[in-house]
Amino acid sequence: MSANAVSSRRALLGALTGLGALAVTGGVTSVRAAPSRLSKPIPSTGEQIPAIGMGTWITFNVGDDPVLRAQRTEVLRAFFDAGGGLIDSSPMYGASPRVVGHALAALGRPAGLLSATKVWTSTVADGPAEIARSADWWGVETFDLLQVHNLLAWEGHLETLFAMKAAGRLRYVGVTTSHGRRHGELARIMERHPLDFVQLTYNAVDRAAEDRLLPLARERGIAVIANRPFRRGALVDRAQRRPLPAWAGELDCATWPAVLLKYIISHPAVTCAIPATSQVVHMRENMAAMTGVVPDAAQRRRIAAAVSDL
Amino acid sequence: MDAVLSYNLTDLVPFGPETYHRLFARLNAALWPGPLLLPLVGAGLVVLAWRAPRGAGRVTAGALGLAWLWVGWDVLLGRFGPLLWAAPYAAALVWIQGAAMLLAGALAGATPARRGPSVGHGLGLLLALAGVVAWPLSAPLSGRPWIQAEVVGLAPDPTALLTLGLLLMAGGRVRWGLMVIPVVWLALSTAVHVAMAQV
Ligand SMILES: NC(=O)c1ccc[n+]([C@@H]2O[C@H](COP(=O)([O-])OP(=O)(O)OC[C@H]3O[C@@H](n4cnc5c(N)ncnc54)[C@H](OP(=O)(O)O)[C@@H]3O)[C@@H](O)[C@H]2O)c1
Repeated sequence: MSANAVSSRRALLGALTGLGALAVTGGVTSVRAAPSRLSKPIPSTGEQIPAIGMGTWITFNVGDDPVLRAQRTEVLRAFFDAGGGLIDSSPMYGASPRVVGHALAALGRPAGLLSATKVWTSTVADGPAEIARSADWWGVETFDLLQVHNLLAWEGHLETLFAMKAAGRLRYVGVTTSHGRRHGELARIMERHPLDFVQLTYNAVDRAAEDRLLPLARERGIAVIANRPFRRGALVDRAQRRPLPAWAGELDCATWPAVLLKYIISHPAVTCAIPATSQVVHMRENMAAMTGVVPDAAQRRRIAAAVSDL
Repeated sequence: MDAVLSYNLTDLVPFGPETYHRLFARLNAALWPGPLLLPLVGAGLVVLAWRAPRGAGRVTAGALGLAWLWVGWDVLLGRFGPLLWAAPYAAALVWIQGAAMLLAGALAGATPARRGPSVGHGLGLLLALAGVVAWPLSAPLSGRPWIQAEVVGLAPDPTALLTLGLLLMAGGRVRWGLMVIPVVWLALSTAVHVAMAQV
C-alpha cells in the first residue's frame, strides 16, 4: 500500500477517533468532522494533489449555449466544493477549454485549481501560439501542466515545454496517450525524458498499464493521470445493471462509480483519475471516491474480479 | 494526418447529443420564422420537380445552391466551428456543393426536369419528402421539443436529403456528379449520429 494511502487512512482514523470522542461527550450531533480526502504527491516536487480530478472531453464542449454553460459551471462548483484540483482539457476538445474558462471566471477563480491542458498540433512551430490561445481561453497566465497530446510530434513539443518550464512559465511537463495505444513508445519517452506527468488509460478492465508503464512511472518518479476511468461511461452503465455488492460498504462506497474510481486511485503509481461528467450528481458521486477507505491489494483484486464478471 | 487516422470514430466527435440538438434549437430561435417557412419552400421545390415545367431545374438548382452555401456558412462554420476542429473542412465540402449547384443552374439544362414515373423518380420523391417532412418530424417523434427540428435550408441533413431526392427526380447526366457530396454528407452525418449514440 502506498505511503499516501496510509497517511489518508491515518487521517481518517484520526477523524473517526475524534468523532468517537465527541460522541462520548454527547457533542456528535452538532459537530461533523470534515471527511479526509485522499491526496497524492507529484513525485517530482512532492506537491500533494487531490486524487480525483476532472476531464472535459465532450462533457464541457457546449459552445456558447448559456443554459449548458450555466449547468457546467455548477458541475465545476461541485468539483471544487468537494476538494477537486486538477482539470484536464485540450485544444482538440472544441469549446471545452473556453467553457472551463467561463466557469472558472463565474466561480471567481476558485483556489486549488491545477490547470492542465495539452499541445495538439503536428507543426511544432505552432505549439507556442496554440498554448497562448489555450491560456487565453482558460483565463490563466500560465498552466500548471502542459502535456503533449497523444504523442503528436512529441519530440519538438517536449523541447518547447521543457524550455517553458526552465523559463518559469510552466510548472509541469507531461505526455498523454489513451485506449492502450503506443505503450512501447511512451515507455521509451518515460525512460529518456525527465517528465513530471504521464497520462494514460487505466481502469478496472483496461489494465495493460499495470505491466510496464505504472511500475516504470514509480521507478522514474513520474506522476500518473488515469484517463477514461469509466471507458467513456460504458463501464458505469455496465456496472449499474447489477446491484452494488455488499462489500462496497466496507470500502465506504455508496455507488458503483466510486468503486470503479477507488480501484484506480488506490494503485500506488496513480496520482489522480480524471472522470468527465456533465452532471452535478455524478460529480458528487465521483468526488466521494476520495473519501474513506483506500482499497488494499486484496480489495483491489475483489473489485477487478467483480468488474470483469459484469 | 497519421495521428487523425489512428483515432476511432467516437474519438473524433467531440460533442454529445444534448449540445447537438440544442444547437439546432438555438439556430431555429435565432432565424425564426425561417424554420416555419423553409419547409414550405422545400415542399414547393418538390411540387416543381413533380410537375416539371420549363425552367424548373434552374430554379431548383439555384435555391438548393444557396441553401448549401448558407448551411456551410451559418451552421458549419458559425455554429459547429467552435465545437469541432473539422468544421471548416465540412464547410468547404458543403460550399463546393453549393457552388456546383449554382453553376449547374446557370448552365441551364444541366439539371433538366424530367417527366414520367420511374423507380429513380419514385425514390427521389421519397427522399425529397423525407428531407422536407420526415426529418424535422423526427425531433418531436423521438420525444424532443419541436424547436430542435432540423429543417431544409437551415440544417445540412435535410438539405442533403432534399437535394438527393430532387436530383433523382431530375434528368441529365450532370446530376450524378451533383449527388456525390450529398451522399458523402449523409454518410458522415450517420457516422456522427452513431458516435453520439455511444456517448
Ligand atoms: N489522449 C488523451 O489525452 C485523452 C484520451 C481520452 C480521455 N482523456 C481525458 O480523460 C477524461 C476522461 O475520459 P472520458 O471523458 O473519455 O471518459 P470517462 O471519464 O471514462 O467517462 C465519461 C462518461 O462517464 C459518465 N459518468 C461520469 N460520472 C458518472 C457517474 N458518477 N455515474 C454515471 N455516469 C458517469 C459521463 O456521463 P454524464 O455526463 O452523464 O455524467 C460521461 O459520459 C477526458 O474527459 C479527457 O479529459 C484524455
